[in-house]
Amino acid sequence: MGQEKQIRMTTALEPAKTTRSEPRLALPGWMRTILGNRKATIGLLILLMFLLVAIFAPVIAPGEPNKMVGRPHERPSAEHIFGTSRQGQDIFTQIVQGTRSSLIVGFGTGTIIIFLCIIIGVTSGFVGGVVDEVLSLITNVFLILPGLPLIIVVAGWVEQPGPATVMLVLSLTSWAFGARVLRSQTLVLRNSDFVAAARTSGEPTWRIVLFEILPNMTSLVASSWIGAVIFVILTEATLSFVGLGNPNAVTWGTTLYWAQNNQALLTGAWWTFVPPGVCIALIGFALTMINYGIDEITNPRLTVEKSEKE
Amino acid sequence: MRFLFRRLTFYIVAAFAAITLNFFIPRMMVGDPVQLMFAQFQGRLDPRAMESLKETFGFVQGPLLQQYITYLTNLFQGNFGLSVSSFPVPVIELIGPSLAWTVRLIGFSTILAFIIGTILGVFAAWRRGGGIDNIFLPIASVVGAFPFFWIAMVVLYLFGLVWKWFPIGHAYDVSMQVDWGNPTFLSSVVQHSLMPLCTIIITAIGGWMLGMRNNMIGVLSQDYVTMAQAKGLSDRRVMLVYAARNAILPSLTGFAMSLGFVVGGALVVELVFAYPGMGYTLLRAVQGRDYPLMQAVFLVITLAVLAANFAADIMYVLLDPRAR
Amino acid sequence: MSAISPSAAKTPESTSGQPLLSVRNLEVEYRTKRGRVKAVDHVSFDISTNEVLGLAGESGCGKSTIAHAVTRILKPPAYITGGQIMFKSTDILGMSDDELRAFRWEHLSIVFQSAMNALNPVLSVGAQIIDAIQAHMPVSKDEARARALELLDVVGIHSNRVDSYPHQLSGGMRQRAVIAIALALNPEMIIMDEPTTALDVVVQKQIIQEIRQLKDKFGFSILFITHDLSLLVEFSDRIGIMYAGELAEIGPSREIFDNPQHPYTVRLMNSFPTISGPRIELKGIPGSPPDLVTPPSGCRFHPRCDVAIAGRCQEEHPELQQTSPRHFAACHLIDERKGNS
Repeated sequence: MGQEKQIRMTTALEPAKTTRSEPRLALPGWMRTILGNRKATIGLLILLMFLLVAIFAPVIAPGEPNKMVGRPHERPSAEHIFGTSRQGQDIFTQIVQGTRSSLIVGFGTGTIIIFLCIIIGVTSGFVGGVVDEVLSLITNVFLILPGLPLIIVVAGWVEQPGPATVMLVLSLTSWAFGARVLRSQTLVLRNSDFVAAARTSGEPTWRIVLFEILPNMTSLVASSWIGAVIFVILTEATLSFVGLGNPNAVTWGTTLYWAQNNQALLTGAWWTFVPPGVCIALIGFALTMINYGIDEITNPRLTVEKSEKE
Repeated sequence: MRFLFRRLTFYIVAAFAAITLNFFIPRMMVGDPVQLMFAQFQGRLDPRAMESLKETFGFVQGPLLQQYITYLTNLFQGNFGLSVSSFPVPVIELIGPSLAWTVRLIGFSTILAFIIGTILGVFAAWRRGGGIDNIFLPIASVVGAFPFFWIAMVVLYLFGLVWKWFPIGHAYDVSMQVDWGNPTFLSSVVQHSLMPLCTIIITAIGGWMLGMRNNMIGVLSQDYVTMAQAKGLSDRRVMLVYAARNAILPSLTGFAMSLGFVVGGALVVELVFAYPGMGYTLLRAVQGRDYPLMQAVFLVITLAVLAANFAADIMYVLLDPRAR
Repeated sequence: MSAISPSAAKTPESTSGQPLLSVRNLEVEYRTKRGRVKAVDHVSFDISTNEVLGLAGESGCGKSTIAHAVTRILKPPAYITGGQIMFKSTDILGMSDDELRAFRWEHLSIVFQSAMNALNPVLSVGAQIIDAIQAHMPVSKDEARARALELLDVVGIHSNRVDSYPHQLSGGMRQRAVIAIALALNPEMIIMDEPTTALDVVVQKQIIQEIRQLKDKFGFSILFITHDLSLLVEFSDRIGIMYAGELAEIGPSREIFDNPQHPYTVRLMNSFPTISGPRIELKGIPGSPPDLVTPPSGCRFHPRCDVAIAGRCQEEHPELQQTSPRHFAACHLIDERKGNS
């Protein structure tokens, strides 16, 4: 019957089907959905800019970032557009090359964290029983322990933390929030009809988890992953700032560390601490925007209400 | 009451987990921690200090379990060991004053940020698309993207150094005697605390505001709010007793995670302002490899966070009859 | 809001004299991303004192929207775009916020579908009655509390429950409490928006019985919204059948039941079992309600109608017409029948 295909109108607030015209480029479906959202597009553009800077760092700012190339604390000029540090290092070179290490640590650790979240959260939610109780307890304990002091104490015991150690410490202490979110979503999915159907038809557990559960929480995993990356970039900068990173490495955090240690504030050398802070904020802002975008796409009610205000 | 009892049990478990972590972290390090400590302090350390260090961490002869019991016994006797950097001052004596400064600064600013943020969130949701919604929300999102300590640096730079409105560093004028009865001393304390206080409030407010706003928007669409309006109640009563009182409940539940985050950030803010609180002490301890002090500060911060969470739980029970 | 003068010809009057509530050509729009949706389209009806008017229809037909429009509690994206709602001689749509605040509950109150959602979970039932009373009358807390106890007693809740919180009450008790709140200021009319839908059948029966007794005792009118037509036949004086935002048929319950005029009403009648009536085969209604962004041409029901007149029903929109003194229906078949007889 033809009219059965018509959308049933229960309430006017029902998720609206977008009637946007198709872009000419043949993009994959998820890409098109994301680019249809303004916030996500802004976030992606900023992120893309940083990615390009990270990839082409040696081209954009060639040279040794820790080498003395000018007088101490030179103001920004055509030659050194972000000025120089107390040691006469070029801040712009440090920022550009620091982008690379900050992004690698951020996305690398974020990825390790999300894997831990999936393993712990999904196991906890899917297996249930005693396993769930134990894992939930551990998760809740890690949630409530103050993260930064714990990370500082762990890093304090390591003699000279390299990037790998920092990543390991951050991963082991920062998985709890994502694990809890994924656990509750797994619980919902586990009790859904299609999982029950898969179970009764005798599908093995690993298949149910991989092909029924995980694909149905892609957006949640994506936003947890982005959240973890934001957290790691901020925390890594904080660790470097308090002197628990490798002071010879080049990251945004270490530039801030040297600014603080060299009394940049007292001498008025604002250019040594403003650029790295703005970079951290920009990347955090971009990732947050992408997360808001994902939220609006998966939860269309948020936009419907807003767009109809008169 | 069962709810509070359950929460209390959980906090005890969490405290025990923190104590145990404290014991195992040094032992999980590559290599022998005793050797590590020796290497760190080679030639610089009093042999007696070395002995006390070993004792504090339970690095006595014997199996792991015996070491653990020794460690716990020390801890429950209030024996956190002796400081390495200011040997032989007991750690507990160093912590006392800095804990007091932190509780005053971070405690006060966190509570204030929670209250202001929550109130702003209530109004932002009540007049959606109005002034607060359009001005504070974008500001809060932008400020929230910056690291706490960076905001602290900017505040210190602008208000402390460029405009010289406030004194930089420390909790009071160090040329003065600590005397809480002396108004000049008190005003010095207030002046020294204003910059860190405002920094923590500015950075923490956005999160509470955003959370409360979103909870409120959810609650405002509930039938009981509509019915309260239809009953003819005043806007004030609808907003506070019907909407806000329900909307604040998830905020209190989310207090645990947010508090850990806020306190972590606030501790680093102390470092920037050289404010002699727990964060400053912790970072000094880390830089000076003063392990007993470092461990003790971590435990005390953890216990303080757990206590604050329990206070939030009590608030929850007072506001929500379903938890009673 | 434009005050459209009612066209007397197609106005289904209830009884003689001035009605308590009179709705004329009411229009409500939902402004959604996909376009403007007329959720209520030119609906007119009257309710007189101590009368029960039932409004029935499938979900999304606009019946709850009418309830919310009459109490003026519609929230964006829903907007009243036309028509007139008169309560005695007061224009509800013209009231200011303060006038509305004073008017509602004293003259007109509403009972929501789910009592769990209609009660504030953090306030005791008593407090929620008391604040309604104190918002309208200058009485002391003790006097208001005495009145609250009285009201709870009237709806069959023991007075020792006055300090109970909603979660401590059973579903039926919660709905009784909501009714007690609605009665707090002794209004002339109560709008009941599916008040028993969330309850099980036995409790549902009891509550309906009690509402009827309360009505007889206090003499208020009821606008009763439901998707369950079987409930209305026994309970209401008159029934209105809504379809796709329009009133398809309205008339005395007995007449609607014995002699339905609209094919949609016939279908609705056949889709539920009567406890007392003969055993008949239950027929669902094929198809689903139309998408109101692009409503069907002509009669909105024609795509699902198996007796539609080819040509006419697709083209021409049927208006409500009188079939007996108090019975109106909007269907072209009525003309056909008249022509044949």
